[in-house]
Amino acid sequence: MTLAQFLQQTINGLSLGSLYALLAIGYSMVYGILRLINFAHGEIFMLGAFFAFYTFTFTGLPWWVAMLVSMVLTAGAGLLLERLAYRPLRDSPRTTVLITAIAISFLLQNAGQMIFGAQPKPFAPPSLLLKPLQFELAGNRIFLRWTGVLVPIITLALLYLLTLLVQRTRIGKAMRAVAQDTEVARMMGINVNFVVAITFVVGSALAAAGGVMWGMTFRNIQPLMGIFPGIKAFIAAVVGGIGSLPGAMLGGYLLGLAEVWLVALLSLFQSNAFTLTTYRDVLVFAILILILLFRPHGIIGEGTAEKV
Amino acid sequence: MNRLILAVAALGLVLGSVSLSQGGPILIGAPFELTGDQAAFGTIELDAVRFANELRPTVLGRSVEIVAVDTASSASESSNVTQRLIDQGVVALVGWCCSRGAIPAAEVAQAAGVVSISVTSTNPQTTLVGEGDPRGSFSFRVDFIDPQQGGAGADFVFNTLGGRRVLVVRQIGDAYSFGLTEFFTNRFIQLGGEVNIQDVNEGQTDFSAQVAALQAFNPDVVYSSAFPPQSGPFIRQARDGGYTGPFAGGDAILSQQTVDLAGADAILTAEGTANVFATSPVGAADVGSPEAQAFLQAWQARFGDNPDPFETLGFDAYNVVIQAIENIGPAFNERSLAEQRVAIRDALLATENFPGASGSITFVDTDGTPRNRVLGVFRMDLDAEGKLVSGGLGTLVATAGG
Repeated sequence: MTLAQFLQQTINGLSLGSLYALLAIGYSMVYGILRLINFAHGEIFMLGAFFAFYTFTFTGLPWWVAMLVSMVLTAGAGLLLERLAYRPLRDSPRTTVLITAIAISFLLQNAGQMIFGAQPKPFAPPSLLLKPLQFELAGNRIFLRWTGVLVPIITLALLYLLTLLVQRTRIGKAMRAVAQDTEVARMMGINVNFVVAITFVVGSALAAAGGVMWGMTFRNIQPLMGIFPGIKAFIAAVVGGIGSLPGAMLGGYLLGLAEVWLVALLSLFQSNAFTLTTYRDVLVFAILILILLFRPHGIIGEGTAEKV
Repeated sequence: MNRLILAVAALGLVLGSVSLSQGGPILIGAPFELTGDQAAFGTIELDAVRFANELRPTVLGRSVEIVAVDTASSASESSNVTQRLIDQGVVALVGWCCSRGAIPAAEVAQAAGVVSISVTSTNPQTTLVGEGDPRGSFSFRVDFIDPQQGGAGADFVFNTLGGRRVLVVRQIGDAYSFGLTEFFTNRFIQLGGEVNIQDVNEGQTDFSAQVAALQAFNPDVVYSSAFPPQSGPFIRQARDGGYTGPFAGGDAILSQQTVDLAGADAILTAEGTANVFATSPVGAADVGSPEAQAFLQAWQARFGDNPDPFETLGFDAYNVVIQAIENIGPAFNERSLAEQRVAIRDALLATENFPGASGSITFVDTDGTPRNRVLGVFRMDLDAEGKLVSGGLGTLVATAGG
């Protein structure tokens, strides 16, 4: 692999990793506070992409406005999901809530196919971002997309805002308190329901941003688009240390880079009889299982002490 | 004892109603891919079958009713709905754009002794499911098969496009894609070319793995046997990854959906001509017979655009079955359902030079695949709005067979 190819794949990996990170944070935050794995999070991500698609199809607003609109709408969807499906089951056994989450995931996939149509839709990013970014490096041409550069930048900005929210604000402090011990936090006068609602709002808004940028990167969206990214982001959250925000970010970037690097490497050693790149998920997940064998609580997770 | 008599009487009533229903409409089952990744083809072919039914709504003095169902582009769902249609009493089945659903359905129809006629399934296996059955085969198609299509594609890529290194995109779990890839690859290697196969999944959106392989292999031409929901985004992402060469593919990529998902700028070169080619049955406009002209005019009057080859073949598939029923004569109405189904098969096998909109169709001395079908190579040219020219066809640049 030439240096140019390596650099190109690294930027692709950072871009993919950003999207996983945005999704993984939603899993990690909800788990940190409710000990619930919200399997419908991938579908929230899908809704984010569709809300943005319909916003700029029908209103022609600039893409970043459409993205903000979609973040607000998707946050509302997340809030509704928490209020209608999860809050009534707050005191039920964990498995009941888990099964509900899986059911909601299927429900949204199928409702999406009925309402949006099962066929993929072309997702047109702004023409400015369509321009290829090409340059020569050590005699090799590098082909990048402006979206590939923009996605990590937007993601890092959003992650910075999230860190400020969690570390510097009263609501952030309340979130950390609820994550540590819900009962004690309640006794201290923290409105737990409000904190949980805010968690869903923030997680869903970030997933929406991820969904919109996923659409801009891969140029098409469909109602089942949330399944694989959702599962992968969940795994990223576990590998990073579920419940930990820096862990989720780290896990997302690690997974994105591992996938892209591995594929670039594999594509150099293949023949007709055996198309190695098809095995990308097999190999990536084998590596992740190895990591978990040596660090069962994830890279940043610390046994029982869990943060938001 | 009374109960037994009642049961026998009820059975008699049921059987009686079956023979009475022979005065009602003739039911033709139409299982098509209305949702899923093949919906772009299944829906338009069903429209064409319905249009053919509008133009020829009766046979032997009875009305013909189309019973349409969705196979969801799934092999197992296709078997299920086919069995359901057979149980409902259809006399024959006309359907399937694609081999994935056509092959398992043909097996079900074969077991039941019902004719299945596929519109555009091109895998050879579709008409081979009856091999070794003492009752003979019940499966037919009106399109060409993939050894012809893959071979013509390889010849075109090697000789006309001058490709020597080809990256082939293959869709996992799809009978059409695997068959076409094999026939294309065998021919292309025989010609002296080099091939690299990349697998994609239905519903995949991120093709960065395959694009990385493309950059490493550095092909002259990319050949796709995958359906539009995969081929369109693949073309897009290959262009974004710096690939500027031509794309080619089988009839499965010749769809507006491919263009919409790839974006017009990925289909056209900087000079504005299309750089994507597909093998396909020729459209009625290129057949030129009086029947083709009549169909063309009727279609234009009804829909205001040109029919594409998939629609033309859907139209023919319906008519060839109705003509077979007509040829059986009034005796058809006197027979039991099982006998009617066999009679239609026998009449189809006797079909010689049926004047279809897609050219003449002959099933005599065949396994159910018509002889001498003409195949065209189309360049996917676009108009100013980014729509495929000639009503979704593109420009015919070469023909083979016939």
